[in-house]
Amino acid sequence: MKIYFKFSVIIFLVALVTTSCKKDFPVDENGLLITDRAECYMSNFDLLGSDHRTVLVGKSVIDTVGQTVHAEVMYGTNLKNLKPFCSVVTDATVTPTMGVWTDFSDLSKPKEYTVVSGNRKVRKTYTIHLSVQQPTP
Amino acid sequence: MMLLVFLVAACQKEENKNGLQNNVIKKTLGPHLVGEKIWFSYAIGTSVGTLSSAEAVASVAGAEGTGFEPYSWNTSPAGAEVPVPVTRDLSTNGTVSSATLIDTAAATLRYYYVIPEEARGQNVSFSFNANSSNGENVSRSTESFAISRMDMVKNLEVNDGKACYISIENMKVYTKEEIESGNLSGSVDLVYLYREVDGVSFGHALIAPSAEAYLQGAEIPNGASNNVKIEKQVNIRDQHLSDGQYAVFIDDIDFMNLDMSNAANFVLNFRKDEGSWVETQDGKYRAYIYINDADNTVPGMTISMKRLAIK
Repeated sequence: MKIYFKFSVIIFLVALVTTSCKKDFPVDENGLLITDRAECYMSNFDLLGSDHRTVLVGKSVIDTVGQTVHAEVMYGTNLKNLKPFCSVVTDATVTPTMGVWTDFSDLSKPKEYTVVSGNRKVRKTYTIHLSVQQPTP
Repeated sequence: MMLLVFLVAACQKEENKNGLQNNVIKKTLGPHLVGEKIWFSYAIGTSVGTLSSAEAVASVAGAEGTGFEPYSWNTSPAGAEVPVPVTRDLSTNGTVSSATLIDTAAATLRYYYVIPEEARGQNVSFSFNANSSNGENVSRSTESFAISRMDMVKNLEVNDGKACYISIENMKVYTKEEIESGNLSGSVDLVYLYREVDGVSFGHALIAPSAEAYLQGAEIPNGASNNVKIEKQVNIRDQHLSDGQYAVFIDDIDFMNLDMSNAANFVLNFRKDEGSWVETQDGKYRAYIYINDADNTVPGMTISMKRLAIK
């Protein structure tokens, strides 16, 4: 009887240690959950000015096949100090990080942002093409 | 027995040995600017006799207007502030303001300290004391209050093509004639203009004289070429600049921590209650210009400004 009791305790402890060390929810280097989702696309893009209001004229046009974003900014926008934001499919991330003040003033070198799928296996790089609204001639 | 003694001692009510009591609170909020007032409420009361006098001593003598009000204030059942005259012989000499009280055992006096130029960038503290008719005396001292280094000017009128040249250094708005007659072209930091431009929103704008692409044909005095940095804000509604309408205060530290490295030299489309940070070309001054009033369809704005010398 004593031997059975000892054996049961050992099995319980081994089971406890094994289950407690098992990693149920993998996370990436930023501590974000890695899921099974392979979808990878950007669904919305916005740019905020120094006053934290949008500087876009209308909505940005996103081509998920060509992986481009075309957006027109208001006349008089300071392109050196803009804060980009976007929406992506569930569980996806964006790199480099958006939401920080960014210099978009060199329109000949469009900025690029990469959307990474929830399973972190699909990466799609979007190119942001900006144009500036002009007065009617 | 010991427990009993302990319980009795613990429950014993501490007696006020002095029948005269006082307390003081500072009512003014936000940074303290030269020329503005700091308001204290000094409450005194005695259970023996009547109040004789009250005195406030500032560590730096206040400017003209410093002193006690002649009233004690109480609140009516309807919630209104009701003044009751309780003093005579009010005086302020140097750092000391005093009031002789008449026929009252309790009063809350208002003391206003008008911040003098000498206190700019300094710390100022206060001590209050009161006497009663039976010879008792009480006093209270305040902590030190930092006096801002900022300057402020309010309600400047700007108008397109007229008084439209803004100097941050002088904190004034000039006409072209005033610029030319005073040889002030080097002081022009911003030009105000209002335009309706087809296809875009322009409206009320503040433009550096050097930002030629946005001047829209505005006349620039000879020699005016400053290239200021200016950055629009919409939610910074300073209480001083807006005449007490909002509960936000711009303080010295806001100017000191400001990063204007990527700011433009123009801002378009100003509306009422918006504003902008400004840094002069030489980096000597940083300012916040607040739009007190602007009609979106009519030229002209009323602006106010806070400014800090950085260098």
